[in-house]
Amino acid sequence: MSEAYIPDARPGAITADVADPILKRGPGRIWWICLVVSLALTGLMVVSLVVLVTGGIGIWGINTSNVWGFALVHYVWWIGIGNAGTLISAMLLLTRQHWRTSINRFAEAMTLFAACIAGLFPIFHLGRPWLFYWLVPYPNTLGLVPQWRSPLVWDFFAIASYILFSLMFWYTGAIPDFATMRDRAKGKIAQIAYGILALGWRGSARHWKIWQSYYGAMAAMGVPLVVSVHSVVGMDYAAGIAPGWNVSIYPPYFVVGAMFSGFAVVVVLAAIFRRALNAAHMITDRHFDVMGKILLTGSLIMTVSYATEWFYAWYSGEHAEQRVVADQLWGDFWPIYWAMLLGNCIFPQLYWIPKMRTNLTATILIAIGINFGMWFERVVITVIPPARGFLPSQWSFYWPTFWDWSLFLGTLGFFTLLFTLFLRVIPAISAHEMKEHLGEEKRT
Amino acid sequence: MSRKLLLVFTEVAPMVAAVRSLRGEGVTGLDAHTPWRVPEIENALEPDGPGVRRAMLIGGALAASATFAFQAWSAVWFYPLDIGGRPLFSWPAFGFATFEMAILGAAVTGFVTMIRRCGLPRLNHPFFATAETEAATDDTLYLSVPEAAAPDRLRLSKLSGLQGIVEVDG
Amino acid sequence: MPPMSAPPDLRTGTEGVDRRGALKLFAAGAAALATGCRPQEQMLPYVDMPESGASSDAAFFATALPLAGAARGVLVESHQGKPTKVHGNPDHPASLGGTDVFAEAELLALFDPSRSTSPIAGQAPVTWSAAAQRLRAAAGPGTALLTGPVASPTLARQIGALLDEVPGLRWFTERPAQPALEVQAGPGAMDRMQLWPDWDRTDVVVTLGADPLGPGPGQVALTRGWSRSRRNRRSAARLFAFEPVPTLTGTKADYRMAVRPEDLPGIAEALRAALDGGSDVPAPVARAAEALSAAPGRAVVLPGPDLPIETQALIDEINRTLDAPLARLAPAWRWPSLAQEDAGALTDAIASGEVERLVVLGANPAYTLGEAFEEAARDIEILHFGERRDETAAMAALHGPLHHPLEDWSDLRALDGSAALVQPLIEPLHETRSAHEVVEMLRGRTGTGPRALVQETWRAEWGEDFDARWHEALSRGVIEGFPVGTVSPDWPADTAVSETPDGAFAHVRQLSTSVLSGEYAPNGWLQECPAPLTKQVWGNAASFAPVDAERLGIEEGDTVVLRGGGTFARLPAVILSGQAEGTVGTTLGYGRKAAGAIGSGVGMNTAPLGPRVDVERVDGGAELIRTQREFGQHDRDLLRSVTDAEAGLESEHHQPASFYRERDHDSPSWGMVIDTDVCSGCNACMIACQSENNVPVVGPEEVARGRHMHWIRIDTYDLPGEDRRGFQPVPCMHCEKAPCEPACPVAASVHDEQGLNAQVYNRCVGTRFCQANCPYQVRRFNFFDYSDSQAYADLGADLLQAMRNPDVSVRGRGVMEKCTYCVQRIEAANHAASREDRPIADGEVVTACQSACPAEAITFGDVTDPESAVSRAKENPRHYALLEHLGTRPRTTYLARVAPGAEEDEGA
Repeated sequence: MSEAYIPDARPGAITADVADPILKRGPGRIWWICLVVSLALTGLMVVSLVVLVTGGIGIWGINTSNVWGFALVHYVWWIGIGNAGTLISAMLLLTRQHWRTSINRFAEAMTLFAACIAGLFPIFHLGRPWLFYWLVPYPNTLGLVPQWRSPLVWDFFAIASYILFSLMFWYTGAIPDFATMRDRAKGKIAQIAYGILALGWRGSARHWKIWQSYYGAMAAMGVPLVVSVHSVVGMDYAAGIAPGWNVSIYPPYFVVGAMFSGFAVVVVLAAIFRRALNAAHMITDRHFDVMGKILLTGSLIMTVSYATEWFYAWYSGEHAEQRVVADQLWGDFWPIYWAMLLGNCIFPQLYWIPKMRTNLTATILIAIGINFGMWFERVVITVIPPARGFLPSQWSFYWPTFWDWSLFLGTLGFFTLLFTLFLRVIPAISAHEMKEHLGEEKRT
Repeated sequence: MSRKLLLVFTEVAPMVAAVRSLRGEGVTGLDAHTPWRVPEIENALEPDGPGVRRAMLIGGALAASATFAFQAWSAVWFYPLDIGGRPLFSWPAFGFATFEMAILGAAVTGFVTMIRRCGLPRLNHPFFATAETEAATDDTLYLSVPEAAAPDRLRLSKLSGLQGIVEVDG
Repeated sequence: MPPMSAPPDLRTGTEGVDRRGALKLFAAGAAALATGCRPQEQMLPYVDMPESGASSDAAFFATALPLAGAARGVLVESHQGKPTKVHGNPDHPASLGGTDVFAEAELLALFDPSRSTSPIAGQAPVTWSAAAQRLRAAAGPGTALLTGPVASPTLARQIGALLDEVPGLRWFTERPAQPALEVQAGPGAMDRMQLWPDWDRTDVVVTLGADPLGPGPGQVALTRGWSRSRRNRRSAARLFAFEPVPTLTGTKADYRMAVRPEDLPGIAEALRAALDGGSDVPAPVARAAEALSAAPGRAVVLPGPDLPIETQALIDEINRTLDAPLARLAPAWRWPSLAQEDAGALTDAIASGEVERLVVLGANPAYTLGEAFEEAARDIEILHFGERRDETAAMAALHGPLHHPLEDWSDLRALDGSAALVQPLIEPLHETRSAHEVVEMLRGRTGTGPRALVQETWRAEWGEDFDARWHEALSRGVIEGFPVGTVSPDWPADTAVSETPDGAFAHVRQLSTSVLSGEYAPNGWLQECPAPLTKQVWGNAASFAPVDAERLGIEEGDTVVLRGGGTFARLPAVILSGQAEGTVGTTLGYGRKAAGAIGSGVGMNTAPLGPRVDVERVDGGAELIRTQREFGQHDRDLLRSVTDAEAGLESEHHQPASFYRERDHDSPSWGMVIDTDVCSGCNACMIACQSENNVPVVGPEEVARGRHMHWIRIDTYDLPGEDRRGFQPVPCMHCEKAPCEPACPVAASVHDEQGLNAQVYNRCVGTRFCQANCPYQVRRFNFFDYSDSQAYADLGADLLQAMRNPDVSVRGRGVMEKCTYCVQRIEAANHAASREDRPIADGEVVTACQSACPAEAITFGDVTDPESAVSRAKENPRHYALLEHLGTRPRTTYLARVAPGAEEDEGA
């Protein structure tokens, strides 16, 4: 691993690497295929939502005992992915990990897109989604305000804050690059559009000082915000009384899980971008090596969390709690639970082997495995406890229907669509930060 | 209308040296335009403290206290309801929205302050009048010196690493 | 929002009128509201308006509803001329204030859109006068009149006159659902008697295949009598059950023994021997005999319907020896003075050509008599009169629709021999006629209405006193001083041994708790009412003993084919511990072919299979749809038992401490106690709640997905260490520290100042977090618009809007709902009390489930009043809260079941 994190290049070459794929080169065949496929799947999402709103959420497989099903599975899954971008960007900035400049822009975009998609689920899973704004404290003739003790209200504030925050953080980081695009663009439309986005950025020393002051403070706030957002998501369950949900480990365990799944997606996206942007010198094997180590750490923490749940169940002496864990491990639900353990705990152990971290194929397969594992984890969390509640008379199971699956596939397509467009519009790598750190490694 | 001279550099170190030497000669009103952040120049130019973080602190604190106060007021006085036998003043539960709004309030205040202190948005700056400054976001560093305060061209041309001089309206 | 639809024309059932027509209908509606669409003929409200009831515009009328012919007296609540709820009539001996599922569901039957609406000949509509002419022409020799069980003195009087006037006309009576405790009392098919225990004098009961607590016209009175004797004399009251397949009676028995049907006569003989001092008898029989002989004059032995006649004779003799407090009554449908034949003989009479024409009045032989009848009757002329176009109507040359009992005048006898008048609650909704009028048409008379015909009967009976007694009978709902007929059994000296068909399993057929013997199949409420022990809805199943299931490799939910009687039935299998080895149990009343959009093709008819069947496990084909799939308690102590009612559970209370300060509760603050010791699992509370609270039906596909809407459900659990199940009704617990409330982000789930956990429908956005957070899982979500635009089958019909309780909102799609403790009744009581400036009296508010419960298992009232019945119940040593350790402080709590003590077991 003699490679550096930061390419040994002139600043002008970085500008060209980042801007030219958008401004000079055509989209290419693969891009068009991605666009068409993702547009089709986005169409499926729209159809699913229209059918959902006109037909009612009864089209899903949820029932009297299993009230949430895929809607919350995918909410948590997407918001988990959405947490990683800001967390990675902010935490690595604070700890001065300069290799972040290769990944932070698209990781933040991933956050933004995933968080927005995640935000769809809590709204559309409502029985009466057109009344979602009742969760907002707004002046109304009924004189009613939200019920502040509800984790869903906390959740609403957390998600709304998080999306707005992420948007500002990401945009602030991208302003200097928009200025670069403005100055490099040849077309009138591109010049005007990037000109507006750049807000007149001139890169003056004063601008940089103010920008840095804000950007650094945002990074410092981003970390506790991300922790709070996913803690609140964990509270959606942990504040509940159902066996398997009422566990105090949920908030931290959700935060780590989110970071874990988000990093895994970043690994996959990094590999794709490296290929798509021809950017092996900017997204290097060393990046994958260090991200592999982080995923390994995440996997170990997840494993400890699962073990803690088993211990809690045993130590609580609560029959219902023990039954949930027993059914997960070797009862009716073992295939889901073991799929989760396989993806989250067992496969990532391969990252102990250095070659596995730098071998792109292996690292991507493991990262995809983690995303499957984390998806199964959300199924385990959302679907099993209500299927094994306090009263055995109400035990039942949730089977997703066509519309459950179609909405999930549709959101995957929508995410792909947003990224496909992102690649053609916005500099996917933070050029100004990369230029700042050029040659740094040689100097130190 | 005052004119400005833009001293063109392609490396950071000579530009920092130029700033130091010009400041040593008592030249004021210097500014720099760089495609990336150069902390050394910021330090050398010593612009005012930005004040962004103070604004963020105030904005965050205001948002937090307003959110907490609104929750407490609405739950205890405005529309008291017996919710699962919990106390009306359920302060731990009020903490979540308070925290989120503190962060959001700080972020929004900071963003607005940043934009305003930078004098943005400003899409028609004289700096943009010439195509030669387009490289200011690519790979070229500019040191701007007010023409009135600038030493003569000969002196300037002796600055090491200087690649050229551009005149713009300022 | 659905397009604005015009109100239906109630008389013709037409829908979809134009704007002009809609305006006319609105005007007509306004006029109807002013006058009420209640019949203009003189009706009389019930003498004592129940205090618990609904809002002030409600009126109550006493009438009687037939079940298997026999009456149960009811009070029907009426709002603006529309009946909206059936209540029990405390004055009527077959109700004593309670109801059963069938009585409650008559409301849906009345407004059922699948009812037949006008006379029809083949496919062509005809007028009633044309129908009357055909009837008149049909009356003659070679004609048979087939009726259901006729318990109406007036109808019997008319049929008697008809038989006199038309020589050669024969009268057959079809009795598909035989009441519990109606047994053979002689050699002939018509020699039947109704046993009727005097519960005030009964302590010890031994049943041999009998199911007095099971579905039927006696269920309400028998359950009430049993539960009172059990509650009031717990130390003396003992119930011993010997039965092949678990019944409600066996489930509530102190001691129960699973016995194959062919072994029941042996048990009777052993009982006789033990009573005579014999010692060589099985221990359970010896224990029963000991209890019987220890309670002279206070013990009865109740025989099942299928016992051979010599066993019936033996049991009758035992009862006489014991001096059992048991009346031997003439069945309500039996009219000894008339030439009455059993419908079983009809098929042969048709096949032999004796019967050439058949007039069917309120019966459905094509279903109950099966294929043999259909074969034989294919070529004869059938004139069918019934409430629906059923299987027989499909064969008939002429079909005329009959009134629903809530539209009709009549009179009815109950199982105990008492009689009551039937008065209409609403003008007939369709072009229907009374059965009384149809018989008059047969007699060649028209123009006399049912009220006049009924009055004619009673004028002859009462003479001078008629006006006063008619008034009295209508306003009380029961006829005083009606003579009760008794029967002296005539046991044949020796009986021919009937041939037993082949078949590996004894086939035990029980009446369905939901559709009885099929007549209630078109009723959505009842189809979705779970079978008490298996929780199956929308169909029937074959039940097996665990050993047999294991031997045959059958698991619950597998499909089995039963073969017997030359036919077969494909059914899902269920496994019931406590079922006798070598038996297969099924319920009757399913497999209807023409039971409307609701009941057609649901389940399989097992009546033709005969008493023995072969069983084969097959792959798929029958689905087991249930509202409960897991019956084990998993050591959670949910349904508790105590062996000593006095000591109770005192030591076991462990309500955890709370962080929060206790709130003061103003009076009144409501609470409920449910006594699981007497709950017999009859489901009356569920249907009563459904009717009172406009609870929708969701349909079989939805239940299969795990969705159901019942606000009160009855959980059924295996009792640890016993081979039987027990019942636990679960309404909303109205927890003081309700976990559902803090979960709601929009404050749609809140506590009110009366201690109610209220659900604000119009505030609810449908997050379902409350449902996820309810440990009792009593919250119900409208996944679809079940009540209206997305209703199951034809249950969204506009006609059904008239049935709704106007005091309760109908919930739309996407909204959470649940038990409210019948808040509309509480509010009505609040209004009444504040008008009179007084506090609400204890017992003034009665919830729908409480009012229906024939076992009086539910107590409701103000928990802040230490003298209230509910507060006293909460002091009972058997009192406990479900999932108490969660700290939810439920307001609905339970009394534990009392099992016989261990010492008693050893002593026996």
